[in-house]
Amino acid sequence: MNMNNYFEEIGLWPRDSNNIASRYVLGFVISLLCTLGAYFLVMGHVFSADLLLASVIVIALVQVIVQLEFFLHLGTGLSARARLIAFGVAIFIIGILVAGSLWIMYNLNQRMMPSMEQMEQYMNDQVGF
Amino acid sequence: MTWNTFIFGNLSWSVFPTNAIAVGGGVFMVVAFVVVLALITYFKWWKSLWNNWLTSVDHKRIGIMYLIVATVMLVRGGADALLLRTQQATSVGASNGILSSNHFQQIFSAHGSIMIFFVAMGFMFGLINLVLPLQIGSRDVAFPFLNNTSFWLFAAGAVLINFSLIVGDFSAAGWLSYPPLSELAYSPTTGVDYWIWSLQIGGIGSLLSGINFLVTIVKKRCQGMTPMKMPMFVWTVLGSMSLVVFAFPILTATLALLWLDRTLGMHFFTAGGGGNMMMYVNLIWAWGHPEVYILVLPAFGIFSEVVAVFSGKKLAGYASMVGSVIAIVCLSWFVWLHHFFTMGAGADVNTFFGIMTAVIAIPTGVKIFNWIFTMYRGRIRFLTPMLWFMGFAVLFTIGGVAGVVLAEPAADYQLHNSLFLVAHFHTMIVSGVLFGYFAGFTYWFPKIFGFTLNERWGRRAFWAWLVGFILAFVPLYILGFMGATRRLDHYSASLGWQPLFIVAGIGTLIIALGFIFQLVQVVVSIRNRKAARDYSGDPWDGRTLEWSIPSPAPVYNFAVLPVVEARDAFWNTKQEGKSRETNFKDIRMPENSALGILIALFVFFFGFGAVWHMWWLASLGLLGSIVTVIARTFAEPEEYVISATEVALTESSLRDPSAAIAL
Amino acid sequence: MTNETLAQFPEEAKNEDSAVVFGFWMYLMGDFILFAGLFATYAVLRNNTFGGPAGSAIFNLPFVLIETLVLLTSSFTCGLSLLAARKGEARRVVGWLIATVVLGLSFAALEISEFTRLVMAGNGPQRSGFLSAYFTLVEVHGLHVLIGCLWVVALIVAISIRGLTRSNMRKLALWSLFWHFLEIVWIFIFVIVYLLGVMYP
Repeated sequence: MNMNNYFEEIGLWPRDSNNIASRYVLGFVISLLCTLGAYFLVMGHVFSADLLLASVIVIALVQVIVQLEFFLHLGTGLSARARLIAFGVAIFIIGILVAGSLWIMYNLNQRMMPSMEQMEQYMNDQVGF
Repeated sequence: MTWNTFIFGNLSWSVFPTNAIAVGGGVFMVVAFVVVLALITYFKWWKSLWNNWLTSVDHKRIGIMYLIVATVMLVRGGADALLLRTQQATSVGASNGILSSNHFQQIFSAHGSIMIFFVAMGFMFGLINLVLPLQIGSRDVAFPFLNNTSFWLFAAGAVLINFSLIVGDFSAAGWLSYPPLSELAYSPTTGVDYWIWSLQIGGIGSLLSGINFLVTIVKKRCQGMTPMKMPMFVWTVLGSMSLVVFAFPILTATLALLWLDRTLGMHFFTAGGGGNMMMYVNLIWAWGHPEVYILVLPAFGIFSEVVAVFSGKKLAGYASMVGSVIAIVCLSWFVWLHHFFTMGAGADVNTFFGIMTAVIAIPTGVKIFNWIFTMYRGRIRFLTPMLWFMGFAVLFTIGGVAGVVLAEPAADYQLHNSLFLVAHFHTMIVSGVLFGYFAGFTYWFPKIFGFTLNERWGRRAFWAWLVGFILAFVPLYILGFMGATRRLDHYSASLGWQPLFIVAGIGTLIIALGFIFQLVQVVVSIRNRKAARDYSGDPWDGRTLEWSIPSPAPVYNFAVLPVVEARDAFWNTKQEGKSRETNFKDIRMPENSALGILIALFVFFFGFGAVWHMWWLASLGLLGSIVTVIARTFAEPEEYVISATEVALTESSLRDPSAAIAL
Repeated sequence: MTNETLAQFPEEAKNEDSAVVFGFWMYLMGDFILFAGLFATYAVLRNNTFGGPAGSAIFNLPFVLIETLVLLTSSFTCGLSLLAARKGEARRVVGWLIATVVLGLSFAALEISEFTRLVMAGNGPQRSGFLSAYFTLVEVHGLHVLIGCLWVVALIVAISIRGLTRSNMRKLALWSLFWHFLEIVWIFIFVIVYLLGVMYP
């Protein structure tokens, strides 16, 4: 085993790594555009609130996926299969944890730590949460 | 800051305990430690201990060291239990029992923390270390040096929590240290800091072990062992370790946030300042629930092995068993709120988690049925491992349905934090986790040591544990229904609870007797080891690969790495009458290393310094551990070679009664 | 395994090193969960300003943009160092690694200056639950960056002394995974903490 294909051999890089240099450059350029794009969209108040949120999220996802694929080489090939599965599991668990925590804490905060206005409204209207 | 505060932090002469029981416990511990050191010195064992055990990267040696530390911690946790039971049996009406309130709180906090983090996790990692590489046909785990370091980090956490008995006090905020009680304002002493750091250090060790064993299963299985041919124990370890890798970082984060609150005055969970103490409960149980499945899954795996072998039949429903492990692993992420139904979430939230909790009982039920189906029409040998299973099957089912009762939020509003809950989780952990690990220890002991454990004392130990457990915890179920809450250090005589507490106390004494019987069993077995020597390597007529190698397992495990064709690979080999491989080759094994101990020692200094605010010590420890890690990366790992002739000689002499190898 | 014996056992070396890569990846997944816990805490405590400033009041977005671009560029130079390693050009590898560590330390310096400014103004992590969560999330990431820089320095030393041995190639591979991972976590911080913080004051 020589060092020329070491990264492919150990499963870091995909097997067909002929264009890997251009992939790094492409990844960098796309990320740059995404970062600047999201920044100027927000700072320039270009869209309405909801559309802005959606676009920022989409841009961020694009950038994350691009970096996962082009920098971390997660997308393609057998070599990265185990890593991709582990990543998928991590995303699944993080999804449950974050979504679950937010749901639970929002619910708890509303019921257990209401603001003064919420308290008064509850007492006046006898309406539950 | 004075020179004194800089050097000694918050240490002062008043940190030593003053009440009789704590002093007694501390003195006993120190004396026992000194006696052990003296014995090692007297027998001139230091060199051998260092070279063959402490610096070893051999998974079998590391496994034994885990078991020893876990057993020592079991003594401490068990002593705590005896004290708690005595207090609750005597502290009625006019009497205040034997412990002050604060001391009682420290003891139940220590009891829970020690039993979960150092006894259960220790036994688990010990058994996995001993057996996993043998079952997958591998020479060692994926990262032997990391294995050694993980053990020493675990030991460092154990030492730190033991220090709290002598120097300073321990947390009085329960085994999970809920804020705001655990915040600095209400727990101003070092107790909670000891809790934070011993768990944090042990937790890092656990996380590293989790990664190690996960990679071992994924990458180091022998040729031909596809996933659906792996032994059931390996499947459950895979499930458990994937939970470790993903759950322990939550604990790491949460402990760190609590420490930041206490030490740097932040406001994550404080009562004021914009903190949200409910978030702590949410986070800690997001870790805490997967943790209990981490502990019980390998025990389920052990039972799968034991029931199949001692029923003389293959495990029933292998595919559904695998499916149930995967289901348990997935579902364990969806239930954590059931630990705090009463914290005030709405009906929709509580219902979702209540339903998921009821659902997660189903895959466990699948397992129980499959074990029973395995026994059905089998040729059952009621040896000690099988007895532990039978005890488990009955008790765990009862405790499990108690859990399903608790899963219903409306019922839980009555039973939360009552003794019913305490009885439920002790039933699960003792009859599930502990009985499982005891069964595994008895089952695999001959593989590691070369002789079987004494059957008679094993039976006595089992019956003592079983009867003791029933006497100790059935009263608690009843008391829970009668309204008794947990962690009570005193109650009124008119409640009529005392007789039940006395029965529970007697039960605990019988459990202690059971533990003593286990120690006697080991001593008696060692004395009889020549008579009980097993030369076949297969004393139970086993089914899996570990029984194909000689006993005690040689350092390289397999002289020739096996090639597997079917499930229950060794059984398959025996049925086909295949002879053993003899084309031995040179085997390269990794050299020992002292760097793991060094890293853990520095980390211990860091922990102790952080607890007592001796920042120079903490910095030294941090720096030292980083430097040692970097030094390790610069060193090229060394190996030594076992020649083919040496392998041949070892293989033949281990199986030859006339070779008379000293055990 | 030593480098000498490696020539005889390439298959085992490949398996061993790919196991190390996978193991390190599993550690990164655990780290991911750790950050998720900190993000969840931040999300819950986001509005707990306790009379103190909210994010929109204290975040300096242009400054953060510069930090982001610096870190992104360091991720790119990290990739360039691997490309050079693949060609066996040890000196070029060290050059790109030095560039990466300079960028990484610049990122850390920018972040530290920002925090100092906030603490001086009385808006340190002790001010409120929100600020505790904000500081901790960003500083834990920053600490990871500093550790990554320390790691790179050790790598620069190792490669300068021993060249591109198998061991050093493996360390380079692991470090690059770590560094790219940190960049991805920063994207989440940039969007969720800073951009969303400014959008929803």
